[in-house]
Amino acid sequence: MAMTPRPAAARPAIPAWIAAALALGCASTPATKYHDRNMDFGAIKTVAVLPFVNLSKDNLGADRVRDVFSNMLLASGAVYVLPQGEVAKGLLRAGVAIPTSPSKEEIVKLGQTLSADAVIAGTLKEYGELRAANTSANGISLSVQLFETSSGKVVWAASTTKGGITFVQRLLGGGGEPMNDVTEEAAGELLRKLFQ
Amino acid sequence: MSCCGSCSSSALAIWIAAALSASPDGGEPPAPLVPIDGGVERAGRPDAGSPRPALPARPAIARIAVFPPVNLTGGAVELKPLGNLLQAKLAGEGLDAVGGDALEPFLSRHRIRYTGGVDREVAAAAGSELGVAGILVTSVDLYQANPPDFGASMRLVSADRKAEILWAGGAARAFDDEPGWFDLGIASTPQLLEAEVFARTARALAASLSSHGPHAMACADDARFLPKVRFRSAGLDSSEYAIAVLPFQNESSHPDADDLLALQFVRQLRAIGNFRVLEPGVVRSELLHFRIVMDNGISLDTARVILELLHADLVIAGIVRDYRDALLKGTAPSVEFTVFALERQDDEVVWESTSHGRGDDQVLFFDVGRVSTAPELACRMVRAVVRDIADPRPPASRAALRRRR
Repeated sequence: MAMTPRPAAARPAIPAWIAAALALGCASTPATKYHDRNMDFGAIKTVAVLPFVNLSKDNLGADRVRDVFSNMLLASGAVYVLPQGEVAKGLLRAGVAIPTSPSKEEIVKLGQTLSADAVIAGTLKEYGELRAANTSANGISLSVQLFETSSGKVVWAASTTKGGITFVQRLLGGGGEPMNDVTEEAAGELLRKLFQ
Repeated sequence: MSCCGSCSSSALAIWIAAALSASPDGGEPPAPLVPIDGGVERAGRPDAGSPRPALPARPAIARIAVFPPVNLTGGAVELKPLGNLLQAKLAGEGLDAVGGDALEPFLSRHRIRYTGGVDREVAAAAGSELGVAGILVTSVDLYQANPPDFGASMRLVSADRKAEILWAGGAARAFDDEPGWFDLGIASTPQLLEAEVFARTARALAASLSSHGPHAMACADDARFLPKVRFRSAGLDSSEYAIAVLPFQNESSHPDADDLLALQFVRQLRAIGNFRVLEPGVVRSELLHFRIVMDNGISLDTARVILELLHADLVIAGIVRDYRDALLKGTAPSVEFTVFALERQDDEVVWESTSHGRGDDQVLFFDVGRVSTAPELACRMVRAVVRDIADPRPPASRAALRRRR
């Protein structure tokens, strides 16, 4: 009985589980920012930062983060950020139903009401103390989107996660960085992503 | 002796501790504290146990009306004894103070229920009817019986149609601010602290009125409490601005944090000198008169109206996010706020900053540098902001200049 040799290709050189592990390990981290290549960001002079969606446990977390983010954006000197009271008035006048997530038409109308070139909306996903076993540390997870008010399109989006429990903290304990520092770090990273 | 039932054994200890400690104002060392009825007095001066006569070196300078203090502590405080004590301290400094029952007919005649500020009408009426040159408006910022903490701030408003702030001051003390050797300086009752705080502010007011002291009591410059994030417009220069400080939005757990912080700004802006700060009572009266409500912060339209009404150049407003006193021994106070300034000329934000700090920031050993009360912490943080507003140079160049000096 003639034996047909088994084709070499069918025999994997590396076991499948090792290949899968390597593939997962070497996979690039998911993209955390989007830039519209056709957008001239230099044309944006005035920005309105809308109230952020709050998905965290802290009721005031979104307000705090919005405040720090808009303040850092203004401090960057690149754009003028409208005062929060002015934005609140604009939202009322433009009749925006859900201030945290306006529709395309609402963004266009809001831009005209506030004379703003762009509008920033955000979502606070995590804010406050994170716990794992006996260790706790402050952490924040935030994503923001920049809408151009002439078209209502998203021209930039980014997200960041800062703080949390590190290996050292798991090993040695400690409460991590103060919440304010973590928030400023996250806002700073988002701005770096915007300007780079 | 109301306080000596609990502290008679510590009277000697307080005497020794006070004798060892230096004067907080940097002047002559204070005489030791001795508990008496209704508080403490400095011993070693003429008639220490009885109401003191006017000091010969500092004769009666002016007649001032002392409005009843307002309570901004967020808790219950008996205000009448505090008002009486303040009046006694002012009289001790040679000031002719009209207050208490003598002021009641005036207050009821003009139906004045809010004594935390003075509008133009009340100021003018006080000047003409009471014959006073100024009105002293006082607020109790901090009060705790156990462990004792006490803080108060006050300002002197001219008794005429202008209702200008002539002087602003305040102080806050915690029971363990100056423990001294073997904890002998620890204050066991709030009365000790009340008397000390009022004595210090009355001294500063008298010095200011006799042209020997500054226009306001400034707190210490503290680099730890500089704003964490700041924006300064190129449009904000070092010229003399008329500033209206609006009520802050309060998102903290302290019910009066908005007023406390706004008053700190008034005081520190007055202390810096190159600003004309509008009396908060005048601002409040205009806001009420024109029914201006700012639920979600100030809009540009509102700011424009206020600036026109008050003839101000800048309007300062903000949000207080955290204002916590150190209620337990070993804890530290914390304050967090955002403040911005809108300018009339361009209708733009010319200043915005976020500050947050704790009393034990960068304190490593033996509580050196610890700030023990929230009013003092807020004072230092606000001073850092106001100095930044007043000085157009960037902080880095200012630091370099200080190093060169």
